[in-house]
Amino acid sequence: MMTRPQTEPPSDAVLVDAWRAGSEQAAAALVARHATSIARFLAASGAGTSDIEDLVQDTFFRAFRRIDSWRGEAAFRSWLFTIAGNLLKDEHRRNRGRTVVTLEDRDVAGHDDPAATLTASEMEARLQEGLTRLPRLQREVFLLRVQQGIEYQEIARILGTTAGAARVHYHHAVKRLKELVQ
Amino acid sequence: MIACEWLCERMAEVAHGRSGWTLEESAHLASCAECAAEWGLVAAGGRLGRDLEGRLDTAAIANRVVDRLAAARRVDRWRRTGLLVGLAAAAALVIAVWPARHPPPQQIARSSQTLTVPLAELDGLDSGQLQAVLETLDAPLSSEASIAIPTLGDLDEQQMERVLRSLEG
Repeated sequence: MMTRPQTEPPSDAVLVDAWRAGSEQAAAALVARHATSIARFLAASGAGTSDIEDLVQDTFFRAFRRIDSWRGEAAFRSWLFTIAGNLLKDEHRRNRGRTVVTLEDRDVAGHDDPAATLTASEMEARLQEGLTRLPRLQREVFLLRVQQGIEYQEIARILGTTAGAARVHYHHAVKRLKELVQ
Repeated sequence: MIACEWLCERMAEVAHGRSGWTLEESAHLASCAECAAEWGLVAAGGRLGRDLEGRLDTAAIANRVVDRLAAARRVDRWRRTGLLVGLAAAAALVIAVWPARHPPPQQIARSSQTLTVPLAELDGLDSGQLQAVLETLDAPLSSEASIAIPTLGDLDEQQMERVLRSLEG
């Protein structure tokens, strides 16, 4: 039986070049590829449920408008996290520190075992609540590491700090969250 | 023997699904309360926002982003065109008005020759001669200084015609 050779999807850098050359399809492909990660990061960072889509949209709009300032040293995805984090910071500043996350806002992920579901959802709810009490850098380092699986070196690039400092923020975050979640 | 520090370093990787626990690591997690607590936290962190995966309409977001980008590009083009038209109009106005207000260099040179009056000789002039010298000079500086910024209303028909022709290309 003949197997059709699989074509690799174009890399972010290739799509960015295509967008620079005027391809709207390339821009749409980049949005489709990264929108969910950005939305999850924003939601866990404290964005209001009703604001998430707008913030995701603003993140991409800003990224494409300033595409010339992305020189490819960091991954395109990392650059999106930087923009999303800054947008959320501005949003919080506008709301003057009003906490926008409520536990009732969050849906619970489905699970076969009701007891396990309860435990997992409870844990997530407590964690979400605990995250809102952390300083911004600790919260973002924790989420980028744990939720997005990004290495410290790349986290440092996203947040404009050093890998060592990112590691320290992570350990502070975990320590504080352990206290808050228990 | 597995060290707690080593295990904690691996947690983000496992939570993100890039790796799994070995038997030895699983045994450690079952026996160490501190590590188990941290793993619970990290695993929950890895799941945060997963509910958005099915709910988010990424195609609709992509369409809206593309529409906004297209609109922003149109605005940029209008701004650029407006700026160019404005610059062209300003340049045309200057070209039309400048010759009328400023005589050619030869005229300036000629008039400056007539104004060459040796200052030392002024002492010897009587009042009638001084008056004659004064009359050869231009109007007082104060009235020269108040140069009104020309507007389209200041132009005569010929000048206006030149401005319009330069705007229409």
